[in-house]
Amino acid sequence: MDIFDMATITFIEAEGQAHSVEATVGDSLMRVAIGASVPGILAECGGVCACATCHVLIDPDWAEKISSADDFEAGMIEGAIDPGPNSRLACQITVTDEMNGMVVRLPAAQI
Amino acid sequence: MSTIAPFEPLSPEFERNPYAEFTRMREACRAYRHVGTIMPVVSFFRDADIRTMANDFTTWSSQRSAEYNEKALGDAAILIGNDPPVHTHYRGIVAPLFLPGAMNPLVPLVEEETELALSETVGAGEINFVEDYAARVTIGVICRICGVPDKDRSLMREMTLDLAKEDGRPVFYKSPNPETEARVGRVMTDMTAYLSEHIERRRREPTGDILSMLTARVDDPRHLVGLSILIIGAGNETTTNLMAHGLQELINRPDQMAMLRARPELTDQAIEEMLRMRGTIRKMDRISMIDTEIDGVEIRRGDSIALWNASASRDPAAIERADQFDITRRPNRHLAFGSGIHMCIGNALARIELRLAFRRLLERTRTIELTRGADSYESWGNGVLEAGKRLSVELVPA
Repeated sequence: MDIFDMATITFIEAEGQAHSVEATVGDSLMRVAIGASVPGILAECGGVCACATCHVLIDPDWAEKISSADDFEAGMIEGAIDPGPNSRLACQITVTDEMNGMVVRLPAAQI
Repeated sequence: MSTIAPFEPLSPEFERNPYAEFTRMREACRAYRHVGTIMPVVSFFRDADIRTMANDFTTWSSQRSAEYNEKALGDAAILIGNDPPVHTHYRGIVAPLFLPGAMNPLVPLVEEETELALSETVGAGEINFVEDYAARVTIGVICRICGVPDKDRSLMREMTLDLAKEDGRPVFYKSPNPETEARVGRVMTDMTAYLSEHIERRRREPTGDILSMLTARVDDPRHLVGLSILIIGAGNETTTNLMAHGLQELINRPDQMAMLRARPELTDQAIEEMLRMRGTIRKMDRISMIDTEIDGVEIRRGDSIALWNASASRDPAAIERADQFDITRRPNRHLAFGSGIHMCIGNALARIELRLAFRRLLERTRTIELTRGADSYESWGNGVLEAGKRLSVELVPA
């Protein structure tokens, strides 16, 4: 596979455990995490923005490199536990090659 | 395909060992056309198929005809018998009330109900764990968040249990079942009457509970009643059974019970494993929107599709040591709450109830003993619901 089709993304659990994952460009960030068995993401609804259990926190340095949440996602984020300004739902973020090196933090709990 | 022995989910033989049947069917085929049913119906058993199909509502739809919704689902059809755009509209109203952020503030309320149940059962000699502890907690919680008066708790328990008895079965009927349909119809009528009155009170005097909030957001009284039936009905039988069967799993595996007592921080993982192994709702219903062929089975537009999520949750192709109850499993990819736009919106509430119910139960007890040996458990499982009538135990105080 062409190297430009992949991006390395690091998920950091609330307790500090880091998981660096090779992500395929075009996949959702949620699929990437689930595919790599990263704990701490439930993704109960399977990626249709219906459950707010793939809540992640994007490191501020990277926030501008990804598209912002639409109104529907923003509404769902309000239903996550303790959402903050960097909160996103991983199922709504599509991996691009610009995300190579991105750091994504997982909240202490999804529920 | 004709070499596969019949799969009969409504038979007593199936209910005696459903998971062995799921294993047989997962190994035998991807798709199985039922024989002799009034409705044409095809069952699926494997994790990969069920995940894909549950996430594709345009092909595998929940949208029934208005006539079917009226007859089989009643007012509750508003969410479970519809797809977008109607489903999107109502889910948009209900979901925010049940998302994790909305449920977490309810922890003190759940704790109170759990404490009450503990005070009545720990050290009280033999109890029926299903009714005296599990249902006590779940009915208490759902009635309080819906503003149903304490005096009506047992009525709610009775009505929702009655409704659940036939849940999921009609699709497999081999002959008309008018008596059962009439009985379910009567319960539905009673529940509708009760809730209509309750909702009317909330409309006049809103109290901040979930039904008051719904009343402010939904105008059509029938839709309001439908949503209320769904919330109250789905909110107790499912979690009650999971609590009882989860305890049964722990009692059956003393090493896992000992580990959970020693390491209460494993409670959330233990609950996911209970959901995976003994999830209450074994099957999801869909309708095919296309003519197609899968694994040699012809499927026609309009055929009923049975997605056996309880089978998927034990599929060795997706889960290692799938038949082993292991509370350290993490992550745990089960389908107990379904997947896709119809995924159970009560999942956060259920998880919070289970978390507190088990954590407190183990803190307050030194040991939990079956009181009638091999006869300690009695099922009323109906083929589609994993359901316990009685789990006789003694909760011995710490």
